[in-house]
Amino acid sequence: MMECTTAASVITHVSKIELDSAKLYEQWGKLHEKLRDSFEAFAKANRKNEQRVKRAYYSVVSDALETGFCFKEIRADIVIPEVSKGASVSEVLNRAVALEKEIREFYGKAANSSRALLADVSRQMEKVSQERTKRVEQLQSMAASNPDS
Amino acid sequence: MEFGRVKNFIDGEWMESEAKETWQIRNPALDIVIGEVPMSTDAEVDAAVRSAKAAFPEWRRTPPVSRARYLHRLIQLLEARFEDMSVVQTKEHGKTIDESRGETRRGIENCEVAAGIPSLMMGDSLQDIASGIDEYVIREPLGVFACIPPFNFPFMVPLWFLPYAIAAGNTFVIKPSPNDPLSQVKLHELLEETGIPEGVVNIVHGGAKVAERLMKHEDLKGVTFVGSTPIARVVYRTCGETGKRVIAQGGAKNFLVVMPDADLDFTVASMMTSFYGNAGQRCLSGANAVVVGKDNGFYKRFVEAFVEAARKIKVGNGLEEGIQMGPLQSKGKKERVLGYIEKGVAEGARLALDGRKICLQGNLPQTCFLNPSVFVDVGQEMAIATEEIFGPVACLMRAEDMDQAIDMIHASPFGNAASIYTANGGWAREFEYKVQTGNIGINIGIVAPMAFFPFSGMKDSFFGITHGQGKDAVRFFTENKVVIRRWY
Repeated sequence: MMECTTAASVITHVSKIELDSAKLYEQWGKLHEKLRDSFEAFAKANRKNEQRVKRAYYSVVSDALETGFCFKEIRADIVIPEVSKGASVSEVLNRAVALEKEIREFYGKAANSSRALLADVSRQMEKVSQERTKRVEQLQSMAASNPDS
Repeated sequence: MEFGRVKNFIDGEWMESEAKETWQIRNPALDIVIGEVPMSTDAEVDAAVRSAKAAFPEWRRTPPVSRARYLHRLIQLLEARFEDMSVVQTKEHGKTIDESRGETRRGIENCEVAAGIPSLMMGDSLQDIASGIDEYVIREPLGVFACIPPFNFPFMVPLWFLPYAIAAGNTFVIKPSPNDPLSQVKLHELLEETGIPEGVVNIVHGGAKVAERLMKHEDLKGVTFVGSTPIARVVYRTCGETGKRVIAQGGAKNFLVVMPDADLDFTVASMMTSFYGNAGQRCLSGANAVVVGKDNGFYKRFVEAFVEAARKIKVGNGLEEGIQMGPLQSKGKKERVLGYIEKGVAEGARLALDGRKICLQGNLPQTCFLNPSVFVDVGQEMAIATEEIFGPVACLMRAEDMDQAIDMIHASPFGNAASIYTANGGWAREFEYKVQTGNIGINIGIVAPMAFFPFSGMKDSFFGITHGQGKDAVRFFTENKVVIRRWY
């Protein structure tokens, strides 16, 4: 996957990771009753995040902004894993933590690199990144509470 | 052909032109024909103007608030088809999808501003200019206006004018650029969908002959033109001779001044859009970067960073989202740019990055493509530093201090835009105060005014008084009628 520099390519990646991970959380939630409420909330939040970032981009994209050059060293290479049906609750939580950390890092980098040239999108990405930090903490706490018992 | 032969839109009907002469509409990235545009006949031009003239009295009587509602409907339709409209622009012009979306957004923004016409068009009044006598001014529409837009922003530029013209109660005829008329056809399909009365908006396709007939037409009240300076002069003169209002925007040679305290990373990234966005085919593009100061180290670092960033630009089909620069709009336009690159080499400038060595993302015909070029150590008198290239070519120059840089800007006959990159507010203010260009950027590479501000221009870049967009456009499309009233 080559480095992404254009807003269009980064926004498409945002859509992909948010919508695909929303589906993943829904599937995980269906497989594990214990996770259902939290994971459905995550799925809903992911879809909102997708809209939030896209709206910021489509509202400000113009002939004045540097949309072709506003991201630096961003790789659109996050792959949302498939659901494996035999995974235990703790395995699912650990995978979710790993995925969320990856997504958080992507948003953090993207927000940082676009701050000067595409500030509205950067601000929304920063917010999503902060929410991801809280989500990682929530998932870690769920994983620490002996969820397979 | 994906889009077939485009039709004229006259008196609310899509009509096949009787013209025998046609132009091909080509997708420059794929080098294929995607449509055909007729060079309409004199009779068709006259029919379009007649239709607009006939629609004017009733349209003028339509309350401004009702006229604005057609624009509100148009905005909804444009939002719903945002991506379709953007994709068409990339196909007909070659620009990247980010750039097309930007064009669509700015076009919509102009419709949004013009939809405020009930407020924008309000007059002024003063009671008791003498005892018992009141005076007021009413802003009235004038009649039929025509628009002759350029190829480089085929969707957006007509929207600097059309929404204001019709919202103010005028009627409109547009002759899109024959290079890329498709997005205007799509726009007018949406206008038709709003239910706007027949004859209020019309399209008549063609080239210079159609433009000339429009300019000389006795039933037209005014013309807006955006294009090259030589043609802008002709438009200005012709409209003057025939008593029409005119906004004629010409060419440009924009200077971007880099002060010694500029943040290099930010400045270079911002400049890439300015010099190479839209493949350099815009009147706000950076043309000459002037590095200020005697610090050879700073100049060297800037040149290296600039060349390296330009070298990395991904060139290809604008529909691919990772692409940063598309092709030139046509083979002829590419050849013109090639001529300037050869001229620059012959004049003794150093070609630090040669865009003639084409490297594309994907397997595409090279017909209309160039990669970014960078000339360094460019002399102020060289043709590449003084003439409008309108392509992806940057000229890097030096000045001892800011005053010398400003003198260089003022030596150019153009006055469209200039920018300064600095962290020093004092320098920025001085630059803003002294520089005689219509648009000034401070740490901004493309000084594209928002729809609620005028798109300005000075010297050989603009002929006229009021500008497109915002309140200036409303002023252009209305006449002040003064009433002094006494009752006895």
